Amino acid sequence: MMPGLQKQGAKKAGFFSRNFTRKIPLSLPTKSTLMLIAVSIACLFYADVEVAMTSPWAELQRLMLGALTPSYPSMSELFQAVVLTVQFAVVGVMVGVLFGFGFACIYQWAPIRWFCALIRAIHELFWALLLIAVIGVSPLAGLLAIAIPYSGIFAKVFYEMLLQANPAPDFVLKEKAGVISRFVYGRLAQMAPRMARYIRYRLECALRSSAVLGFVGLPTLGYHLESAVKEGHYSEAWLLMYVLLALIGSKKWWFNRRTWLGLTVLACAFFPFSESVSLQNLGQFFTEELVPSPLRGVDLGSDPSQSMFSLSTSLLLPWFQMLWVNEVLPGVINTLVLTMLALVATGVCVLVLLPPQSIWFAGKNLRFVGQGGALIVRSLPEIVLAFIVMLLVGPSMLPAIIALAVHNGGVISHLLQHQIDELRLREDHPRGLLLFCYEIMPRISTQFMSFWLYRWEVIMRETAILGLLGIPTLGFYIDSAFEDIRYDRALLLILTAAALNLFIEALSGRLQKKLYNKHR
Amino acid sequence: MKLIGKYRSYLFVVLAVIGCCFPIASQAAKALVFTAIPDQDESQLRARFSTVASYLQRQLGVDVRYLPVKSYGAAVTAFKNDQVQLAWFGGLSGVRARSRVPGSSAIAQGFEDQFFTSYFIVNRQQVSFATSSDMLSTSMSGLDGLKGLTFSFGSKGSTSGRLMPEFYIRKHFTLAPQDVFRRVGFSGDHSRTIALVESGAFQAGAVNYKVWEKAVMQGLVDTEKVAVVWKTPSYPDYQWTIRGDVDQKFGKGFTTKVTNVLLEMSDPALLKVFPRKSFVPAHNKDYESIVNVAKSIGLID
Repeated sequence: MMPGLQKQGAKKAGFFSRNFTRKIPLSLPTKSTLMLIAVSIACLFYADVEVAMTSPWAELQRLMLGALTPSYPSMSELFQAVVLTVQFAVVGVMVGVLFGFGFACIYQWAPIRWFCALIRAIHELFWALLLIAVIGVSPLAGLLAIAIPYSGIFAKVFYEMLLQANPAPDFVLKEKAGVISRFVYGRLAQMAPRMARYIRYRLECALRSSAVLGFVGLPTLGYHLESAVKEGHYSEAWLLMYVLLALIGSKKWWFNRRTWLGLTVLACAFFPFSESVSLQNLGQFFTEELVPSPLRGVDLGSDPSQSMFSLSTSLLLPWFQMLWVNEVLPGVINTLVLTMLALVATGVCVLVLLPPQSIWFAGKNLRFVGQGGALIVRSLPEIVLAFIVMLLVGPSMLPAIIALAVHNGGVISHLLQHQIDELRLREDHPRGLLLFCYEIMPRISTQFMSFWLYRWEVIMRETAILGLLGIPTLGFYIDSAFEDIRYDRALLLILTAAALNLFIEALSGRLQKKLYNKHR
Repeated sequence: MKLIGKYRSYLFVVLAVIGCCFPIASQAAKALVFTAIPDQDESQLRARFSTVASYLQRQLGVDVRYLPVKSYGAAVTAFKNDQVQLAWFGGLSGVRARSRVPGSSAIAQGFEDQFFTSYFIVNRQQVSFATSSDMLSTSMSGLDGLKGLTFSFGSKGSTSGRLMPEFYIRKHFTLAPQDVFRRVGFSGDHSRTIALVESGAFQAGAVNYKVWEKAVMQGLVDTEKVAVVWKTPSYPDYQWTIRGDVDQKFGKGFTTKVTNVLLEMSDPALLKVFPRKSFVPAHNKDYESIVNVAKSIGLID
């Protein structure tokens, strides 16, 4: 459906038609970058970027002081939070791998593909809110909130990896072995190391997600972190952040090929499954709470003069219209504006953060600082970064843009740093700015674009959760709906957010494919 | 040191085993679980309410646990799902909870909750307010000066931090808050609203008068920087609400027993947790005005 729509659009909008853009004498990465920048400049007019704080210095001082004097009143509470954070992450990822692998095997089946796309388009925080509403504040809700979206992600990534396997072994085995042996020895064995690497990377993300789940009430690190930051107890907040950083930084020592199995078994064995799960409202939740409020308690078959369909639409339409005007539309606009601005700011951040991390531009000391800084900004959840920036500049879109840009800039620059350090340059290569602008950047531009475009979708998902900070994105309205115990609205808004995310995913996927083909 | 290096992985496994045993320890079979809306100083909630838990446990003779929650919505959800059987709700959250659990009832409220009120506060350095004596009168003109400011409510589900302030704003200006103020925020809790207005992040806000008075008394707020400009007429607020099915679960007459224990609470250290002077009986019908207000501004259907 997508390509057809786009073609039509292109024909109608003569100015932007394919022939026109083709005539511009610029490379495709440059063209797409310029277009994204143009869109985000247009967004700037709608954006709410006001600095409201009159005296940020006092707050900043306390923040800095907290960084130097980390402390926490209750060690056992901290320990429990760490254990639960790790448990959610490890068990969540492992359950995700299990289901993701299962889905990957039948991924060519379209409904499975759609299903996986849908479950991964919903942010884990929204899954947590939904699950808490269904089964109550319980550890199981936290586990599933990670496992569900992650299985969607694993399914896609594993499927793509298996496709990339060299088909030669499979051909050889074709006559001699059964389907399962062929799959295991022909394809899986080739790709297992890459899959393992990906799982290890995902665990890092899961630790972050698991911490963030604390923001909605599951007692992980984020639970205490949110309280501490909110109340200005910066010493506690910093200690919690250091713990999270240490946990992520030391991951390769406690989650590796020797320990993963033992750790998983232990985490599962001691997972507090039984703790306060309430299933008695499960039925009521689906048959009542999720039903749009005008339809609740209405017997649709009661009036013979109207068909069931027309009756339900006549009831639903005003409800939907009201929601569309008051919540969905403003939410979508704010989400898109924030996403575009954050995307471009991310690009700028990459350009700033990259040189101090690379051997071509920085000495040993500067590299240490650069790489350390990048580690910090990419390990801290965006929502925490945004929270801190909001304390300094007051509530507006600005803290969200800064947080998203810095975090994602940290991620991309880290990935690019490895690539540029491995580049081979001529003996008489230029230095400094010249080298950066005319040698390094052009050589990695395709890779840069592809990472950047991939983060587009990630940024979009994250903007939704920044609504929890009061920026009226879709997430803000979703949070309000949960706070008002209006799950029908929450579901509609979550599905809208998911649809928006799928749209961006498709768009960035198309662009990436185009870039990749061009590059070849 | 080399030994540690070699067995490092196993060391982590051992640590993990010890760690995993921790959460298991805190499980009780049939306990009365209660919660409280996180209206102020969130990190202190557990410390505050665990003293109440041990008081209830002593008096009732059953295991009593306190379940901390992060939001007003979560408190209502926990009550609805029978994760908690008893809760210290605000006016609005109580109404929401009782409408979802048939048979549940308000059993006790604080003495002060019979005539609760909200304060509108402003940052003095950013807003020049005429300091006349009638500002604290119930005439609505005190609200006039708020137009066009940036304004922070408390939690989205708070009675004193959102529902009643919004009701009077709508009544006075006949506009939605978004159209009266330049920016509308939800700070999450009352202490945070005070901090945000004091720092200037928001120019004005609405708070629970109890939290404000406590902050002033403890010197947590600089009254040179923040001033109260208007207070709402009184309305009923916080109350203890209990599920209707506790008598089946804990034996006949349990509701009455809990009610009496709550009303008899007289230890100043316990009352300070809420903080209330004493507790008085409450009934569902006491909160009809809250239902009507919430319906009129579209917060409940």
